[in-house]
Amino acid sequence: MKEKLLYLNPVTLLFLGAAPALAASADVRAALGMSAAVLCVLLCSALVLGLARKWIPAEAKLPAALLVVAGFASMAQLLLQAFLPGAFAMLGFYAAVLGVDLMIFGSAENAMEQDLGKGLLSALLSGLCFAIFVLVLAALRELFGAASFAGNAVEALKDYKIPLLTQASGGLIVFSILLAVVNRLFPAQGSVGALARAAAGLEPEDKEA
Amino acid sequence: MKEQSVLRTVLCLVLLLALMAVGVLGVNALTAPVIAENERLAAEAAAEAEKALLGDSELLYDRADPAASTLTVTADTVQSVYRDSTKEVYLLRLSTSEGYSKLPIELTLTIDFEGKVVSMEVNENPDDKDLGEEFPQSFVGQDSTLSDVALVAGVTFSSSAIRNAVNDGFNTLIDNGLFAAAEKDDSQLLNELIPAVYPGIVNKPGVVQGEELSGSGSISTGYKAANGSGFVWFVSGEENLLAVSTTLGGVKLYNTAGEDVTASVDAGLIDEIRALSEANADDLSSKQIKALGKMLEDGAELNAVEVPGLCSSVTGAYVAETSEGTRYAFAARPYGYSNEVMDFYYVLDEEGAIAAFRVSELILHSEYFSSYELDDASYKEGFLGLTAESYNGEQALISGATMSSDAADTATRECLRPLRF
Repeated sequence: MKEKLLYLNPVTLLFLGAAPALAASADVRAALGMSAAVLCVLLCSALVLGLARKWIPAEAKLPAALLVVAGFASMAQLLLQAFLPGAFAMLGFYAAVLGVDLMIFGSAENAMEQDLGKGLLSALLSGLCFAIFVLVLAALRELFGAASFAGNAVEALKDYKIPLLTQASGGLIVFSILLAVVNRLFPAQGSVGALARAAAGLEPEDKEA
Repeated sequence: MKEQSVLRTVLCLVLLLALMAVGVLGVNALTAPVIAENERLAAEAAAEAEKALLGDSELLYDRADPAASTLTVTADTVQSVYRDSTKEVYLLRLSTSEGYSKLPIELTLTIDFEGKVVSMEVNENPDDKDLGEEFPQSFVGQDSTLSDVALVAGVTFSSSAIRNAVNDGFNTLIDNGLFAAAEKDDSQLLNELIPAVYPGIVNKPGVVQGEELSGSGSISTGYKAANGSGFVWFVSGEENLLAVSTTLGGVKLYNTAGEDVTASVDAGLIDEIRALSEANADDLSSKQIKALGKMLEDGAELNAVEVPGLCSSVTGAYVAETSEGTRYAFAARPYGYSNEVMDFYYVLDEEGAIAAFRVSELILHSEYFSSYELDDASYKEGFLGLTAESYNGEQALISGATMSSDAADTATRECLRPLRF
């Protein structure tokens, strides 16, 4: 599990989920909302597709994953709007991006390749990877960009804040720095293909087969 | 078998679709009342906040219902005006679309009965550049001159739009006799003349693009235009004046009322201004002659001419005799994207129609633009044959690149203007 979270994080290794990560990381509250939504959509999609995988023909797997992810993304949007309206307002139209996020879509497809337990575990780990990364990113951006944390002002940083960090370009800068630090501290070993399979939760390719 | 497979695929997808649809409908049924309640509470909170702000204020003007208003308002930026007799302030709601993104910037301005700003709040700013906290604060305590309000570097379009909107707010109250206008000092009056008398030194929002210079003698300070088109100088004396000196040979002087007083000033002062300008000028002629020469037949000699009175982005005017007749060549340097200078070159025939057109780089920083549409060759070809009468601005338009379009339009108009030599 540690290996998955640190070395094979789909966000830092494959840049999956980068769009919602950047969109939701200007404020810690928005990041919490987005993380919760991503985790719910990942788990629910993995559950439904894992249960139905034996009945889904091969040619229907892609549209099936699309349907299920889009459906749960819509439900997540409605639930956010109802029970976390503050976070929903901060996310704006990025809440709808969940339906086309490659990390979620990839995890949903993989759930149809493995048994239910493994699929759910993989989805849970992907969701946790995303949550850890986006919360750290949001904390950095909000602290040093707006001198606040979850909307609460941090007086000590008030005179040193860099407003650029709360904007899109600043978000990309912090994202890149964080990626570099994570990949330096926890360098992944192996070929890109093998790493991609591992990050996606798939078994290593059997080259002798 | 194939039909069975297709049928199974379709059936599977339909079932999944039905399942998801039931799920979404179920969640919608659960959340719809909660969302409606949230919206009702948010609307109530906004109304309470509005009530707390306005108190027992009297509505003097509402754009939505001008017939019921007691004020005459001509500025489009003013949306509503209230008078709060308890706090002794006027509250104005302003909206301007002259910022960088051209989307509405919403402001709330409070001015006391003596004509001083109590507060200026930016309620909505769709532009993604940060105005900072100091800019809105800089309005507090200002009178109608807004003399201490400086634009934000790098955010000139939006900060200029906000300043102009606040100015509209003041003018509305002054024009309706609610308080008197504060007196502007000569320095401010002369600075405000610059966009009108010398458009070539300012960008679209009217902000001077240039380097500040020190003068000598009675000439205190000045600005050198970033595009090399000329200078403005501030002359101190019995009467403070604004001098405009362009590279095309003209010197004009204006008083604080905006009147042209060139004919009544001492010739020595004009010589002094001319000398100071020449000492600080950049020589653009060799670059211009080289570029314009390529647009004429081989061997055609370009002779520089002076065009006194032309205070625009035109930095060079030439005449050349060719086998096809007399040709008039101009170089113009308007401000484009990010206020950077763009180089345009025109050759006009004897009838004043564009015979050749050239531009150094039409889309600056093109790597930042993904949505502009431009067929370079046909765009440039479209300018040929246009005259001052037939040019209506359409040819200069580049979809998705407004500032470049504006610069092309400015350069074309200024080079097509009827000129007297």
